[in-house]
Order: sequence, then C-alpha cells, then structure tokens
Amino acid sequence: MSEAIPVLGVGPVLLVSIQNELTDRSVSSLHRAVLERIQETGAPALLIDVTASEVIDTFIGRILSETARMAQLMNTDVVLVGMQPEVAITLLEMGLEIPNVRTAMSLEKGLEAVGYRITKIDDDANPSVADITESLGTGVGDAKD
Amino acid sequence: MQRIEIRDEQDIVRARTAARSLAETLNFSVVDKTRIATAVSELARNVVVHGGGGYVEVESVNAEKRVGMRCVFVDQGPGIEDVERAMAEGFSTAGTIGHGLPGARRLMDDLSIEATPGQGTRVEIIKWIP
Repeated sequence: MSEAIPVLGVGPVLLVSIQNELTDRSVSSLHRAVLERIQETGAPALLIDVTASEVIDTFIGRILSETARMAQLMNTDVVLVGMQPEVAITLLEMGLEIPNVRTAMSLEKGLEAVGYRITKIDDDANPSVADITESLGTGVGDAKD
Repeated sequence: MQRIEIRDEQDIVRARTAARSLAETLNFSVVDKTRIATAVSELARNVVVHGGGGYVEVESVNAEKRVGMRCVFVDQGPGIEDVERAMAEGFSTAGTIGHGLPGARRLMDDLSIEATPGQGTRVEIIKWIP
C-alpha cells in the first residue's frame, strides 16, 4: 500500500493526485518522483490535487509544502488543487501554513491558473474528445483551423 | 472500545480510519470528523516516531449528559522529559515540524499527557458533540 504516488502528464503539465490512504513513506517518495519528472520533462507547471485528501496533518502538509518549494526552485509553477473546506479549517486551526503556493478549487481552474484550458475538439466525428490548448496566444477553437 | 496497535506507518492510517469511522457513527460534523482524524494521525505518528510503537484505544464517552469520543494513546518509549516544552509551538526533538502536539490540542476539546521519563507516554484526547 505504500507504493509511489504516480506523477501524470496532462499535456506539458504534471499532475499528482494525493489519495486519502496515504502512508508517510509514499508521501516522502513524492519529493523525488516529482523532481525527477520535472527534470525529465522541464514541465512548466505542477498541479497537486488534494481533492481526495480527507486528512492533511502536519507531516503531510510539510511534505506538500516542501515539494511545492522544490518545484518552484526548478522554475515550475505549482498550484494546490481541490482542498476540501474542512481540511482547510483544520490546517488553519493547527497553525500550519503552506506558504507561497497558489490554490485552485478544481483541476480545471488549476490548469487555467497556469495558463492552460481544456477545450473540446471542434470535430463532429469525435465530439467527446477533449484537448488541452494553450490559452495564451491562441484562442479557443483554433484547433480546427 | 476499539484497540489498534500502532507499530508502523500503516497503523497510522489504520488509527485515523478507525477514529473517523467512530466519529461518523457518533454523527460528528464533517469538520469535527476531520479534526478528530487529523489529531489522531498526529498522535499516532508520535507513537511510532517518538514512542517506538504502542497502541490507541478509541471509544465513545457519555458524561455529564454529553456524548463524545475519546482516544487514548499509549507507548513504552522514552517518555517526554518536558511536557510543557513539548506542547510549545515549534518544539520538536525528532526533526519534525513541532506542530503535532499543540496542533492536536487545538483540534480537540481536551488533551492531557501523562509522561514519565523512561516509562512511556499516555496521551488522552476528547472531543464532545456540541
């Protein structure tokens, strides 16, 4: 159960999803996994998704904070995504801060925060396929042109 | 009363899961369930990191017309030399951040520590249903 947390690629953006049954060891391995992937891919942004995290205690909070700081040192934008209100209240009450990390309510908002947007491919044959287009510079719908 | 042995990090997850499910049964609010599970996670980690293992007993309590939940953490570790200092913000002997004990106290209604140097530590936390 303490296997590594997968670091996924969504287009050029890296995505790490923190699950609830997280053990200390798997959180600790997050550091290395994230840094290796950033080095390999030169990813401009990292989204850390905590939607499924029912508990963020001081240990997990510290690892998240450190991971974010290291990614930032490697010139990667970090957004913490989907924190549950009760988790935010608990962190605050414990006096734990995750400083200098941007937050977003959802994955979609997180992507937007780092300059990407999920858009539907404008193609009748493939109406359900979604694509990520860089929202900077090119407009929505350019994919068809 | 449910007793969970705490030996390693898997047991930290087990302890907080057990605490959360009892809090669920007792109809604690979503925020209180999270507070309880988080405090249990902190204290269970202390048992592993500082106490060299031990156990937690999780149970519901009925007192003075109030209903709540109590968790008692027991380890046979070196004990806490200076309880007051351990409760102070930012203090830690094991290279951790030092928010654990004071953080857990703020999340619960009551936290008490009995520690004898060389003979282990007993930490009791209580949360009442408002």
